[in-house]
Amino acid sequence: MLLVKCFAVALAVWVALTVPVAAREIVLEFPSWQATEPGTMDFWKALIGEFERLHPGVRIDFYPVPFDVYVRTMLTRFAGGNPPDIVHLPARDLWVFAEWLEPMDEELGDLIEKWIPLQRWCIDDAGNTIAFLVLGFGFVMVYNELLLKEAGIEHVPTTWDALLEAAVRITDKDKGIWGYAIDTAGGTHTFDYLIAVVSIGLTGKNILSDDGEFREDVFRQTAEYIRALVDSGASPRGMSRLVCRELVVEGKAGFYIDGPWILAYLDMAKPELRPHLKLALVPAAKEMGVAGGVSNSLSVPKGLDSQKRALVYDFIRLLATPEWQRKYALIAGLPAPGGPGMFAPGELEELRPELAVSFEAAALAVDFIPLCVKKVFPEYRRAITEPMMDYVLRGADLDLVVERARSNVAALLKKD
Amino acid sequence: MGRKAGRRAHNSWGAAPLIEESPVMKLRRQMGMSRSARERLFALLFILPAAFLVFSTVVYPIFVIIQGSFHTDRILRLRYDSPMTLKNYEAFFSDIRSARVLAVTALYMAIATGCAFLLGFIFSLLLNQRFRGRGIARGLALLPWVVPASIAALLWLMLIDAEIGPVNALIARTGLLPPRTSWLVDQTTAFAGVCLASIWKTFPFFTIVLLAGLQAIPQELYEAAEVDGAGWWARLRHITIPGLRSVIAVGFMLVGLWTLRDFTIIFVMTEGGPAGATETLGLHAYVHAFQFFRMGYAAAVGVITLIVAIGLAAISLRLGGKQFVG
Repeated sequence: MLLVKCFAVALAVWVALTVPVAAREIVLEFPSWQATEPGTMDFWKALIGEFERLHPGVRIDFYPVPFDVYVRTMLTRFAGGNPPDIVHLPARDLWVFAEWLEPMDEELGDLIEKWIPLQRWCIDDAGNTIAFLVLGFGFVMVYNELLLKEAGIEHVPTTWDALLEAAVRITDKDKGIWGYAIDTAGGTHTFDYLIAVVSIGLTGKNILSDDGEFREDVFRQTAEYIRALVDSGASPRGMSRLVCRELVVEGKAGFYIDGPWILAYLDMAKPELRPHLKLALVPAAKEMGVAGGVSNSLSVPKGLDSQKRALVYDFIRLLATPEWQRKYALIAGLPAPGGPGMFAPGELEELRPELAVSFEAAALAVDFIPLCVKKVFPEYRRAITEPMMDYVLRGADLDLVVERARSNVAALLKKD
Repeated sequence: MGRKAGRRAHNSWGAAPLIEESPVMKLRRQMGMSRSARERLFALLFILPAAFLVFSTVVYPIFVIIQGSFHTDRILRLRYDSPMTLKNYEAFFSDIRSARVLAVTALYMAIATGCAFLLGFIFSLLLNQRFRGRGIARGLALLPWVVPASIAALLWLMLIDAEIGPVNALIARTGLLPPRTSWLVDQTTAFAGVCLASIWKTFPFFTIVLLAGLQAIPQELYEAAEVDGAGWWARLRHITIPGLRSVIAVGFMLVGLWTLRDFTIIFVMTEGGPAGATETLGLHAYVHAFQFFRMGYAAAVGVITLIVAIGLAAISLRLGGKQFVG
């Protein structure tokens, strides 16, 4: 009996202490894969700190969910009727969640109109904007200045042929030095970046047009170039994307093409090496454009209570202010959608030269996901990369491979 | 039987009965149940929690999957607005890729299970002999089974690595493969890589069960055979293998089912690539569920996998014979 009484007293004390605090405080739940990523994590924390300072009594619970299970985790939550308050999504997967996301045009119409053109990606079939773009990007090329100098290469290649030649010159297998890092192992996403970059870099066009036309000539040119690059021996075979990035950070790759988020990985290089890892536009960027697209976005779930809803929109508006767009660029090291205009002329190059390249690439970006397959991009990616891998890595006949890719895409478009 | 010493209750006359009636006894009396009925009732009450657990964690999810397989929705739901359809099954059986998935699955099961059995059998025969350090040897032989599947996959990725992998270097010395072979780039070597990892992981199971089976075979049979002049091979064919028949059937069934549903090793090593060369039914379902978000189709693949698994189990039970059924 004494034990029961003690327990009751303890419980009452606990309730007395915690419930009033809970009743006063509003908590906005904000899960994100970027909660542990260097660069973006720091930015979000700074933004959250400022938001909480401006909104006393409001706390944002910012916590990590690993990227490889992120979409699945969010899907489970939405399907279970328990979405987070601030919905952070990889923009490519927006369509899976469309039925659960609130149209934002009424609240953010003015902002949306001034935002980068890639914001159009976030419009659903009914013409409503269901997400606010946090990052749109263009692919960039990392190069190792030291390796270029050792190989006697004076300038960063600006054509695709020059890139191939430079990669071959840099390669020294005995020393474990490679001219180019290509991911040739993995699942359906194997070298999809490279395919996108080369197809647009060589021709200015995607393999598939926005209205579903399969461009055989673009496919052939892309396949032949990538095969030449792989056959040149300038890249080790069987590497995943993660290993490619490690090779770059260790100073063992001359060139590598990735999104602007590669900056955060470069910052992990040894201090003596880091200044020599630089960014440049991909070859022929100004003539043909740069493959790019949407990265991630924020949304509001349908049915959120009015108080939390208002706070989430305030959070997004704060993110979109010039001050915080500038901080996004400087802290996260990414080309903020607000554009480089928030920096004074020359300021960006002085503060962080690589950022100037990222901004330029974003401005030249050509969306590498054709509109007709935006809801089925993973399947489209497989439809193209598998036949191309057969040609590039296993020497399959190009004509057969082209036909296979064409029929894969046709079947996919017919499915939907 | 319900008697509480020292406590008495009173009936309506005020007289105390000799035995106080417990609530259970009172219930029995009120319900007018026979003894056997009461025993059945209590048995049911004991089973109910476990039955509820099985229903909620096994039966109901299977029902949700089966129901989902008849809808083309991108996600699974508890209730559907759309009518039921066979489109997912039609899509599976009309897709050329599905034929390859089934072939890869069958080949993977056959090779991984068969080789794991052979290796396990050899080890069980060796570990059944008397030698110094046998206990330690038995423990070491079980180690691969203890290692988590994801770790086993990562380990084998290193072992077959083109630059630093010792397995790669060893095989290159035999001339079977050129040096510095990138296993994961070629479809054949990628398939061989996942098979090797799976065999390494599962052969200890065969070792254990066959070792137990060997020890159950009477030694007198071997002694009698020796006296009759039977050699090693004859003893193996006529005593050992028949004696292990039911154990082998069980082993094949269990390991076959494990390889049928194996996901971790393949996903970590190849993600089903290159170009679908290692895409089994499990990977196929995963890719469609969590990469393509076609969960209705993935549910259909899951149902097909379940039917294959039931068929496999039925065949194994039949082949195991009366000894297995008991």
